[in-house]
Amino acid sequence: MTAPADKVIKKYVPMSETAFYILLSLFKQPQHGYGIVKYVESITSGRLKLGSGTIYGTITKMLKDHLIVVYANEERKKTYEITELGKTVLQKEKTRLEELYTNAMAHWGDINE
Amino acid sequence: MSKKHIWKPFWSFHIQRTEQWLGEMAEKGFTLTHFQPKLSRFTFKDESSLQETFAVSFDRTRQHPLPKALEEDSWQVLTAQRKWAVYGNSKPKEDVKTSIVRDGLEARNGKIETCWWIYFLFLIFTMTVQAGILLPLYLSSGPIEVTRVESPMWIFTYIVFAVQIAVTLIGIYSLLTLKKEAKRLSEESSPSYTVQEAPDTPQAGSSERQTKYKFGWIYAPDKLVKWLEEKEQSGWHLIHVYTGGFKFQFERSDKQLYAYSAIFEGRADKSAHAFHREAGWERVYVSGMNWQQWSIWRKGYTEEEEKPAIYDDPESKKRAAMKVSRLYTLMFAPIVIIFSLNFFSFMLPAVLEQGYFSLSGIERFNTTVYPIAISMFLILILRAWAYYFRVRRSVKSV
Repeated sequence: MTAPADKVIKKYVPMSETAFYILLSLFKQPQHGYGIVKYVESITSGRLKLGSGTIYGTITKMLKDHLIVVYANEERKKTYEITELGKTVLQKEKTRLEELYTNAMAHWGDINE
Repeated sequence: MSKKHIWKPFWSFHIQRTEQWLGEMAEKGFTLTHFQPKLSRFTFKDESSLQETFAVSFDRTRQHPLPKALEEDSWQVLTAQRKWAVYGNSKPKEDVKTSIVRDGLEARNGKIETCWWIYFLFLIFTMTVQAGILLPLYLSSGPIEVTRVESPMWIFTYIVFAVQIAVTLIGIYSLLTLKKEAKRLSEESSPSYTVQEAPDTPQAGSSERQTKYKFGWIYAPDKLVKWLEEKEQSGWHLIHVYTGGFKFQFERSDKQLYAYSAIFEGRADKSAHAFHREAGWERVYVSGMNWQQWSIWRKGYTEEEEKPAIYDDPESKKRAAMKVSRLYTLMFAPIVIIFSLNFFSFMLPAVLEQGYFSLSGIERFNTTVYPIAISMFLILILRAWAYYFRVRRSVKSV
């Protein structure tokens, strides 16, 4: 059975950096496994090199929770696609991060004054 | 409108053939309306089908999702029954670009296979025990008298015997078919993952070589990994791991930087291996079994680069180590407990009461072997946990 959405949101927000970047890299277009690794590496300017075991574990979990789905593309390569639920979870996490950022900046401002 | 029921036993053991057959039925002008996976029953109505291509999917979570990419490629979920679903596509097979992923099905087939193996092991075990009891009787020179008591209950013996034979035949058929099916399924998904195995034979050549043994590393894989990495750094390149995983062959070469990783999986996960391979890891060893599978991986790197790791976050590192410690505890703890109970409540008191040398030969043997066996298994459990705590410490210090 599909876990109720709130339960999944509770489980994933806050989420690990790995989970966040996986969802983010799937946000605009589906990707295959190694594509995710490369994409994350490029948008973090090489800082984050995801280990394949780590990323595989997270993807397996997300498939089970229905944040993402998988299909085989033309070259029969496994391709991952974000679901509506996945987008909702990512949106919630983004809101949380925005709050973090706003608060951090507000306090930064205090110190600099 | 007439309905047509068709019984297709073992349809799930030939998934591609079943899909093909669904396509042929559609061509003949039958539309699939319903199917009962457990009963192997497919129901059609006499009406030309809108679908031309079919795919049967197994999803343990019963969600049967339809990714957008599949939807855009004209796929739709025709009928879903619990863990099974039939996907249909209005295009002919050649024009369909995307396909469903069969990991769930492969995992399910693997489980069925394991169940049958357990059945056959049990069968062999009981037959050996029976032979053990009856054989001395049979071999003894004295006359044996067997009395057969007439009873109407004998019918049950015959029925059970017949059932047993039928089950065994189904088991043999299932195992053979599933083996072939596994091959078909892996061939179907292989084009993207060209399997590149590490050299599987011992290398013979002119350069300097050495062979080293490493036993019991599965209880301390981190030490094996460290040893292999140090070997590479000292100019000994691993070229072959012999079957069994305890004999390692090295070749003299330039100093190289390699990151090694030993992975344990409860059930062999081919797609995980494909994933690691794609990420540039080379598999140098894999244990032969489909469950409790160990594999050793490596990846070269340079001084400037960070050392790569298959598991690179604390959580998954700890989880991977925990799997190992837990398994060996579950495996050996019962042995330790049963042996200890036996030893401390029966054997030791007997020794203390009667003295070691007044015991019979077999008792003396047992009182010596039991403590050795208990401590051996206890050491294995402790080593596995020591490994877990080493991983936990290393993770914390980062």
